Amino acid sequence: MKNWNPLFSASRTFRALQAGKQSLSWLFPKLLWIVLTVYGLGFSDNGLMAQTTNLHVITKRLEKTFKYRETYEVNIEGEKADVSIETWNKDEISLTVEFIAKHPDKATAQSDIEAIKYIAERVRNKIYVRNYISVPEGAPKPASNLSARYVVKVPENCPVYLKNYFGTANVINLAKRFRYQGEFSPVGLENVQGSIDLSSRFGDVSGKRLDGNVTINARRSNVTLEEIKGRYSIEANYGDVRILSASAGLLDLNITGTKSDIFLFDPRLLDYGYTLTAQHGSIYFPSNLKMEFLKNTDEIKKVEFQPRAEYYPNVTISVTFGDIYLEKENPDQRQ
Amino acid sequence: MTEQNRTTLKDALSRMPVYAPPAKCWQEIGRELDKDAREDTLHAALNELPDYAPPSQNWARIAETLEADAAEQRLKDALSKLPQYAPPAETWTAIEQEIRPPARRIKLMVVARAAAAIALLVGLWWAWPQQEAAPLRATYSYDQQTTNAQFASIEDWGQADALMQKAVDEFREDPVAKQLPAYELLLSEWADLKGAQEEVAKMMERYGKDTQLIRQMSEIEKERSSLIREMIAQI
Repeated sequence: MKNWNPLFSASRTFRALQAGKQSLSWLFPKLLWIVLTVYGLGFSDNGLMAQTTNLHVITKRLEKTFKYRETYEVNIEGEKADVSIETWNKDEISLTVEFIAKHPDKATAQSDIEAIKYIAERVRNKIYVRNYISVPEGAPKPASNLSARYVVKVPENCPVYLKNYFGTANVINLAKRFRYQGEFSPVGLENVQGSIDLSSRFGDVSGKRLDGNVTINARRSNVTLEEIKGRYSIEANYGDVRILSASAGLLDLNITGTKSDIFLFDPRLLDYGYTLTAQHGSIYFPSNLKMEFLKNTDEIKKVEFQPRAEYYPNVTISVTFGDIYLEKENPDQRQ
Repeated sequence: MTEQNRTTLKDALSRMPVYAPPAKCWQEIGRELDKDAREDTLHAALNELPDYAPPSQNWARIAETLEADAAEQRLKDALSKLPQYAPPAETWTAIEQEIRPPARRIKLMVVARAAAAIALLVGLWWAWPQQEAAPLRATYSYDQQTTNAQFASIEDWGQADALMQKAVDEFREDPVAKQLPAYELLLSEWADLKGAQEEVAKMMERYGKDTQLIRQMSEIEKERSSLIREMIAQI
């Protein structure tokens, strides 16, 4: 998603006027530019006034620690939460949760913070953590801007299941199993191994140094992966998939896309075997990759390539209403 | 036979011994003759009885019974041919324990029920949410911050809803558009985006508006606009 901030509009107007000033300075007198600049700052196209509001910020912080056993799994269900999961060397599971309420009226912020409820308990082998908003019947809805923040520390072999609805998620160094189900919540993974199962709707997925059996189901979400190892099965709908680089341990890469463009950037493209299919789309690849065309019609294109090596990773990509791009180098990095 | 032989035969017969059967033989013969006479009456009465044909299922049932008897007989034959084995002594010991006096069995049932109850309690204790380790501690902190954001003035999504819906309706009914391979896909995409926009709006109601939510709403609105342009181009 592109950075977009309504607050930029005023400065944008100012910069535009400055640029215009340089090119048209011969036309208008200096005083007129000053008047226009002040006008631009005050009344931009969004109608944003440069007035500031003082917000009272109440933060409620909760901490809890559980003894860890090998059979335990952590289940987190966040709502409007920024969740950070990391590992440590202790045989403990540590939860630090912050709820934040912001409002121009301090009493309102103080009252609204209590509307966010929280559960952290162990039931059999599962440690459940959850936040949600609950208001007594008849009571007014919270007027403050509310959000949650989780910092969860687990041993690296502790399986984690994270469900997040609006917010963000960042996960590092997990080694055994990670499952994610997110909606409107971008997720970032780094150095995660083992069984990785991600399902995301309206939330971009990014991963770096992933290794294991990786399954990704992305809907209206872009997927960006870097330095990948292991086996991958990716299904993307209405979102692009970008594999920025593969590592020596890549075994299989299967991607299915609908209304999605698929990009594979890797300097060792010749080392892989390919079966690429584009329905109502095109396939682009370097000229030295001698693909065999199995089908080449307006509606469908299908190509194959097998390297000379005995063992090689198989790359299978099928898209409908999308294109496939194979390149040695990511053009963004080249720039 | 000639007349001459007749005399010879007569002489021979006269010389043969006379044998008188025992009296009971004559009595027996008399009873048999009487029985036949009685049965004549019985047979005559039976002949006068009306004919009666039994229902066919009776015969079927009789046939089944006969077959079952035959099968049972075959089973018995087969069983009789089976080898016989003597069970080990400990089997009888186990059987003896099973058929021990009723009083002892009642005691054991009580013990078993008590054990089951204890196991249930232990299970409930184990499965019940545990308040283990450190209890939940809540601390509060207070801060102030300033913001320039005035989101009310940029809540312009939904302004063109009616117009967009009109375009979608026209696309839905357009005969040329209906022939497109992506026809259904575009319509489902529209429904998907509409649902997503409603979800974001609900979230804004519950948690308040912030930059992230407004950006998400803007992205959806941009995708909706792009989709509408795609639909219009096909009409």
